[in-house]
Amino acid sequence: MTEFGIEFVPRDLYWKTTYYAIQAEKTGFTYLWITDHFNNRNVYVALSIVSAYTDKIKFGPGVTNPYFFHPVVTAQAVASLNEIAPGRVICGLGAGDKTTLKMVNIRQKNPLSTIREAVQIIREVTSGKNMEFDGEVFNISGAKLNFRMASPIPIFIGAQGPKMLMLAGEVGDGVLINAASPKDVENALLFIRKGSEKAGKRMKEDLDIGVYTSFSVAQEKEKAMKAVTPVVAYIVAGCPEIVLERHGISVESSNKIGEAIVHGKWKDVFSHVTPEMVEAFSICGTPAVCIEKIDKLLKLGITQLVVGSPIGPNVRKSINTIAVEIFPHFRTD
Amino acid sequence: MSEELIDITLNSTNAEKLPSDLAKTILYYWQRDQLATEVGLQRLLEATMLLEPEKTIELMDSLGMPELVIMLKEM
Repeated sequence: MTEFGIEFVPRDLYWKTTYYAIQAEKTGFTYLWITDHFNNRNVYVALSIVSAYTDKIKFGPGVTNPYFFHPVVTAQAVASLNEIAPGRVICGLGAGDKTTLKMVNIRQKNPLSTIREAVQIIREVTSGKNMEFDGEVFNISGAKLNFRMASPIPIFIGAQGPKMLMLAGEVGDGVLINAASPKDVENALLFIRKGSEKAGKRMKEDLDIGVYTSFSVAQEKEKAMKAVTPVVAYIVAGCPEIVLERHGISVESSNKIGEAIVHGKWKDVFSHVTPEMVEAFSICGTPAVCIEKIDKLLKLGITQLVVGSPIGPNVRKSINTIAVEIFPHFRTD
Repeated sequence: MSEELIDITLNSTNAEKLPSDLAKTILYYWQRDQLATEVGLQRLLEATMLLEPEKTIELMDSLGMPELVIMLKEM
């Protein structure tokens, strides 16, 4: 059965994110992901308070990256959260968002080795091992947490490009495919399968396959579109060339959007984002349209659909719309 | 009424003015499904009157609560 996850951005005040998190739990979401960008509120602070006001929903950074935070720090953070909410913590890890990395001049160097090594470090450190590690990117000479962790933390890898998808299939407990269109997901599954086969893992049984999509639902299509546009802009700006090509979007358009974001020129951002980009990189529209698009994705055999930011023009109402009008189409219980 | 009040609170442009202790009290009641109870509504009204007094009074007026409107205007 496919589970539903939801993503929040801690750009909002802590109590708003927590309000929505409680609502997500009440309405039947299984997973809650909170994004990690240095210019928003700290993801672990947000997750801590969410953990205190929820009882069942699984949650974690969605996704953090090893460029801003050394993997031992991530291991420490998720292990600490797991103490507050045993068995509910998950860890999303990715190569970082190019736009925010650029703001502080951090180069996205060796992303594949960086993620591969980070996964190993987080896994071993959270398992309580005293870690010695001499990698291509990280070097650790004796790192051990001074506290014990009751249960292992599944690591999901956020991926979009072919090599990262393959790596995610190979070393992740789960994959979060950054995509919204069936052709992107279908393509991604080919690479994930290659990776999982390399590691002798079975798709779905041994590997969670999540699709992490920008989502906006409203009773009026235009309102849903307006809400999703800034998020699609970020996606297009950080998108690998191969994915842009698949959707007929030029690198030049992507760069223009990226520049506009970096300089805070939001009027330009809105004018550069086309309806085709919204179609390619989000699930957006009325409940009926969203149901149709979700259905196409679920038929591809994924295990989790993450309803990502912005959710809708009015987040509270959109969560209710998902629960009342969308979930019943995909759940028999 | 609790849904209308929470929407005013969540969507207020003054949302950052909500005191943290009041925000946590609202979350406490929300987690326990008690925002629509008398005490939950009192907290929500307190929040909306802090953030959006005019919208709150307008809402109470539209819900046909003249006594409450008079009381809120005097606050």
